[in-house]
Amino acid sequence: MTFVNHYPKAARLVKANFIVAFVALAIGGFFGLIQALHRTDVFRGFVSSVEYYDVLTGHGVLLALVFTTFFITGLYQWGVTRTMEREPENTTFSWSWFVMMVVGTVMTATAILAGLVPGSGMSAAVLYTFYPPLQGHPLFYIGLALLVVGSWMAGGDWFWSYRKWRANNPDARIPLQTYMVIFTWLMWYICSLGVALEVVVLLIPWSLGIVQKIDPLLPRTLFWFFGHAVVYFWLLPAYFVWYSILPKLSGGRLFSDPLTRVVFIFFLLLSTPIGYHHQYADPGISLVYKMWALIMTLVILLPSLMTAFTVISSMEHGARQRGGSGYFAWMGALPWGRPAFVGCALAGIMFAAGGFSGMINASLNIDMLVHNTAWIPGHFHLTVGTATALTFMAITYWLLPQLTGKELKFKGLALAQPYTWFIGMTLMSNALHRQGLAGVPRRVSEPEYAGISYDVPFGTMAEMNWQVAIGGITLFVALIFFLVVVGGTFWAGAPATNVDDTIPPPLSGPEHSPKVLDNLKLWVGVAVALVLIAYSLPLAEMVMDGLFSPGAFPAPV
Amino acid sequence: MHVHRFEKLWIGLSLLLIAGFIGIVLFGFTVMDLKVPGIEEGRQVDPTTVLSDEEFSRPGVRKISDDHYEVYMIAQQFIFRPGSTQPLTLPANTRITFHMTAPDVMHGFEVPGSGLNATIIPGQIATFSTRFPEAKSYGIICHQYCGAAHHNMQGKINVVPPSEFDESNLISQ
Amino acid sequence: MSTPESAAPGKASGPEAPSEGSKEISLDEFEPYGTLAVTGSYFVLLLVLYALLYFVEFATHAPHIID
Repeated sequence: MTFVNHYPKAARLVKANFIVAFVALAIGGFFGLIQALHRTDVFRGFVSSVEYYDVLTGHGVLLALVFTTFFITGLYQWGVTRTMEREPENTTFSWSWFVMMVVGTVMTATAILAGLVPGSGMSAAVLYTFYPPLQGHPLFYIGLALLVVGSWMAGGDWFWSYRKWRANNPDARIPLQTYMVIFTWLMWYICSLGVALEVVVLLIPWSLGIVQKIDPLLPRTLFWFFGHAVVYFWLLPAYFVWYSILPKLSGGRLFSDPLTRVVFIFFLLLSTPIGYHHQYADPGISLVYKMWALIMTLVILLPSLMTAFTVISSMEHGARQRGGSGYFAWMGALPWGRPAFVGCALAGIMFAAGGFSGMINASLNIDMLVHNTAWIPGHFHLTVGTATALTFMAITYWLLPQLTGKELKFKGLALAQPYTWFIGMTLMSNALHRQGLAGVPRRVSEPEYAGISYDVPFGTMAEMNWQVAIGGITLFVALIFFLVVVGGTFWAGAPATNVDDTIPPPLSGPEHSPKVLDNLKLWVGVAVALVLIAYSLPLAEMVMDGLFSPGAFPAPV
Repeated sequence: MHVHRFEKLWIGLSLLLIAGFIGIVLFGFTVMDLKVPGIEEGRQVDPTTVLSDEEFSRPGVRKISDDHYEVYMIAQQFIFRPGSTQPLTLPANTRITFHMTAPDVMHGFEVPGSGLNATIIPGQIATFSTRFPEAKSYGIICHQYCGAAHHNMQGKINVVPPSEFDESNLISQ
Repeated sequence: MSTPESAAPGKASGPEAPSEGSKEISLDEFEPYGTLAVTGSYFVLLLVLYALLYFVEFATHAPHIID
């Protein structure tokens, strides 16, 4: 008896979300392979250098927005259902948010993919940041809006369960997994308001031709109101896995439930008011706010550094219970033969490296060296591309038997997959970082410019290009492994007899922490106040001179 | 609240690290003159009429003093003016102030491998000052995706010794 | 070397059947020296790499924005 037997309705919903996520992952991952080969001039036969931007848009949207959102709603539905011990309150409502997200995704994907079909008259090669005045087809923006609104309703579904649970348990502490879900979604409601306003108030009317001109700075600023917090929307579900499941996979228990709650509070408070650090190189954003972003962004290192300690110590607890000893040797006692553990652990190691390059990005003036260079994709392929994506893939191996009642198929491939991903990403990411230091730009189909010779600090340009290409191929192979394991389990997995789905209680439980940590109203209030401090004046200034001015004409792509 | 003493130590070290990084950045900013765009409050322009603007209608280099020149530059799909069709020629070891804007979409200005980096946004003027220490040729890349031929948008800056700087090509004030 | 992901006996204290050397370690007994060693090494690495990148890679590669 496992999740699928106790909560069949929720299990079906989770599986549906995961299937959409994995289809997006498959297509987006293939686009990534095309880009890795095209950029490096290893093979430019898939698409032209102009169509590259359609592919790049598809890669970004399908992976960073679609794969993540659907996997997260699935994962969080699982977490809420099992810790609230309730099926979704109303099945029709649950499926309606799912369907809304799917319809939105199909609309957006259609607009993007049509750009690869000659004569379709439709395209949206605006990349996943869709900065105007570059203009995509209206379907692109309307679809994105539906995806976001659907995710808001998903959160509503979980709050509904939480309220029902709270009515029956007036004095209980919020169970940790639901706590993490709630705090992620509170942050998500705050930050996605920025992108929703941008898309609904500005971009949709403009793409439909209702208004003609647009002020590029205002939507860009609203995008980054959302655009940095969205990285925590990707990351916190990985933290959810690392805090609540990884300790158990390591053979131990979570070291501290109280500090986990503190960390999630930090992210709710600090994720949104730091978006300006993506605009360090922009005119029209005053230095005061750039300085504010510098300080707040570096302060948000704290919850991640605390996470490092809590998660590593929980793993150490497992290793020592398994007989490990020494200062470093204990790591050898961890279960390096279990795919779910291996994926999460390797994702954590890559996150440590990605954390470093993120500290550089955050640091105001040194960002001028790497801003919009290949360093940036080098960085976020370690964070969202590995810390998040590899954790999601790895935990799928542990969740599938609970969701399907079937044994995981092809366990050897499942074990090889995270190691393969790790090797591929090591090759690709180190080379992208070094290319960025030399000034090679990101988001460009042909980075070799006739009049420019890059001064490469370490290695050679040819060597780095080969590492990117081989890394990209290796990552694609790892992706195929994953899809084969998941597909094989869905269609041909043997019935599971004894599914391991228990999670032991933390070493230090919620009883060791003050109840104020569970005071949702308080923390939302502080978070909103910090956002108002950071954004009200600059946004007011941009809006006062006219919502759409100084306006530029649209440039369809 | 139960917090292990090692964890308290780690939180202390983390705060130290954060303070250290902020300190390094501020030291670089103030003492080493490593800055970012946006210090000077730039004026706004109407992107639809900027090409007939007093200064941007005649992009190029202007002299302010013997040690200070300024460059008005237009970035548009898919060239820098000046910079792309002819290199932008500037004197070494001289204060140069750039003013850049775009009439169409967002562009980027990057001198690869250096600290010169700015977003060029229609409606805004990106302004910053620099000094080129060496007389040599520097590349310019548009690093903000700007459309189908984005990968062709590049330019060149020829930096020459101040004694060899030809002032006959300057734009008159 | 792969342990079956889902066939392990469901025991609350750990994912695998007790093997030699496996034991329960309570909150009071647990001293995460290993974690201190790992995070401490990371701390040093961060400082060194940051300083290297800032003062060597960035600060020495002029031109910079000076105003």
